[in-house]
Amino acid sequence: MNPEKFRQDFPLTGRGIIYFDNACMSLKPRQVVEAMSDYYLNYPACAGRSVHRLSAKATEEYSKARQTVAKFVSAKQEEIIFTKNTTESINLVAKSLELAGRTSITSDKEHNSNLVPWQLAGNHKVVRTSDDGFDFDDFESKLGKKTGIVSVVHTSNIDGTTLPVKEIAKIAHDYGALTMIDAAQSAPHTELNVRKLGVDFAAFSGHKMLGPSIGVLFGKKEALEQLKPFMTGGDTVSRTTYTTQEFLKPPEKFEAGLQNYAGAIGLAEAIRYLEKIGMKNIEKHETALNRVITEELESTVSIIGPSYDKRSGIFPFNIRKTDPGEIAILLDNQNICVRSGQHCAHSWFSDRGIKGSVRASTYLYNTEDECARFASAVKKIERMV
Amino acid sequence: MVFCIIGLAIFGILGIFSAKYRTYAKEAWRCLKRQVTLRPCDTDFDKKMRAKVAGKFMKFPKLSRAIYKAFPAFSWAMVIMLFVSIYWTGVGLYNTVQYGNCNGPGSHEFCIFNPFESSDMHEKVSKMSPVAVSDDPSIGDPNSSVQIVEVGCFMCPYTKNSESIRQQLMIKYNGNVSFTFKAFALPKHNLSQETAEAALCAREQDAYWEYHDKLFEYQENMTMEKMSDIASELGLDESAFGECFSSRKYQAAVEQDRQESLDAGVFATPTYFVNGKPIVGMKGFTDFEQIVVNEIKGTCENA
Repeated sequence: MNPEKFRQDFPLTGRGIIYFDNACMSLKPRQVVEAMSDYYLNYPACAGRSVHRLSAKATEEYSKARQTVAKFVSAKQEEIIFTKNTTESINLVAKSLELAGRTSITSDKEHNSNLVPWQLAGNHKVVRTSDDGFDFDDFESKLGKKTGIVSVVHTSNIDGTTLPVKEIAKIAHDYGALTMIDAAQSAPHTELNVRKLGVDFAAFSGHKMLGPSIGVLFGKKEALEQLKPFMTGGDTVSRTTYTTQEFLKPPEKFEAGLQNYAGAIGLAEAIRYLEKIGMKNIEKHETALNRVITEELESTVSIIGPSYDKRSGIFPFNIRKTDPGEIAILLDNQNICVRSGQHCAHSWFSDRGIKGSVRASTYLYNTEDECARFASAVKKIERMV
Repeated sequence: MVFCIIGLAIFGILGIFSAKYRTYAKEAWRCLKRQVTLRPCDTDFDKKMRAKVAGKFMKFPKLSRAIYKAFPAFSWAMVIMLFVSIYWTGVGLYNTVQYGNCNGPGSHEFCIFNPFESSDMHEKVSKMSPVAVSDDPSIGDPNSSVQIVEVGCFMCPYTKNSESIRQQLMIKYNGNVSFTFKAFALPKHNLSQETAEAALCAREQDAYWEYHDKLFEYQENMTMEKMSDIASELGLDESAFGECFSSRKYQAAVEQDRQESLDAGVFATPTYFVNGKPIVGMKGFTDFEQIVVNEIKGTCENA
């Protein structure tokens, strides 16, 4: 895969900036911006409400967007719910699922978005992980007939490692529990097939995968039927009286009020862009970039996590005891954008007594030359601090 | 914590002009507040600033490394300089208010801001001519080599503050200096005309200078009654004083004095004419003494 072919679609790449903060937010290609502009300029209407031609066009495009997203994760159209972001998708499940005293289980390397909602749902347990993977013994010791749901991160935003969610889902199902994955970091970088993985719910965001700020919740039809309505109001009901209401079926049941149509249309365009390149190619490209960075820097910095081939496009590191924020500022001075801190995974860092890390994360438009320049900048900083 | 102090000062000032710096000022304030209350700084403000400053010099690795490593020492130096600056600013302000010169009494140094010397002052001074002193009250030997005429207002605080100069000069250079006070009733000062008239009424009883001193002593609390009280305090004939004062006997004389001063180009009080050469505004004693000494020397050399 040659990233030079796509870089012209991302104007920022031609401005001397090395953008390595893709795990937080990806750049957007012109095609996505144009698709969204097209909605705003040519048919900025409500979908599914009015009967005029603009509304009909908006309804059609919104429906197509849902189809595109469904196909992308190998789901059915009615299993795709548009939300604000991954966080809202997880909250939707956590708040709507009637656990009724049953437990929820997460891993120990969750983003706060897949930790706090379950903590608040009550009866929450945490399973250990390590660089070698998921601790299945610990997992089975925490599973039981009272386990309501197992919700784990698919690919970690801390170190890029991917948990064996297929095996986790299988075991969880054996105990009668539902399963959910936080796919915010996997959907943009690898093939996400919810059928093959066998999960009941999956949540991801558009903004990390070339799209705008919009979230997606995949839910198996039978799993979605177990959920109470999350937010209610217009578009979630077919009929109301002063004292009653009749809810629509999913996905409408969970999409209250006017939706982010431009966001859905932009996400669909982003998915088409990704599919044109091929998710396998993207994954391979990121691993190759991570290899370049790792080989250049493994003797200079402390890398968090396993070997490069298990870290997706994420390169988390520290330079001795230097504050990660300082390193990020020094890199920014050299036109390199990275993230620093605890990456919304305070629990994992606190548990290990690590103040934080610098996180460089690549994507399809990054090049080996950028990786080499990044490595050179980090070496320069290492000599300075 | 050290850099939080300097950061707060710098970004606090810059924040007045640009919102961009207000965030930094807030961070510095939060950091300082937490550390003063023995809690760790949670904004890492000093580290951020260190990286930002050192990062600007990354093209010069040795320099950026030196800045990075020496940042704590640099911060200390800046804080010390800040406090030294604050101290000297305070001293300068005090001197300006007290002596009319930011450098304090006796200084010849230049002051960037001197409220007593406007930009066109030199032009105005150059146009001044010696003021007429036909019948104004004098003290000292009338034949002394240095004749000083002060044009002042009894209700002007700057005139009051410069009074000690006259007293010191008269003691130190007794016999060499004579001093004349010409009242300039500034309309902007309440009771300026009345006090000048009252002083001339006191002069009728040979108590001009005593009354003059008392007017300055009670300047802040001056009233019409006070002027009578001073006469009583000095043991003057109250009836004669009262008659003189209430009849406005010297109204025209005071107005004439003011007109003569205006004719000479006087535009501020106090203004001195040392052997006819004008000096405007308050000066420190040493400054004034130097002028007097030069005049005495000049007189000797010419003799």
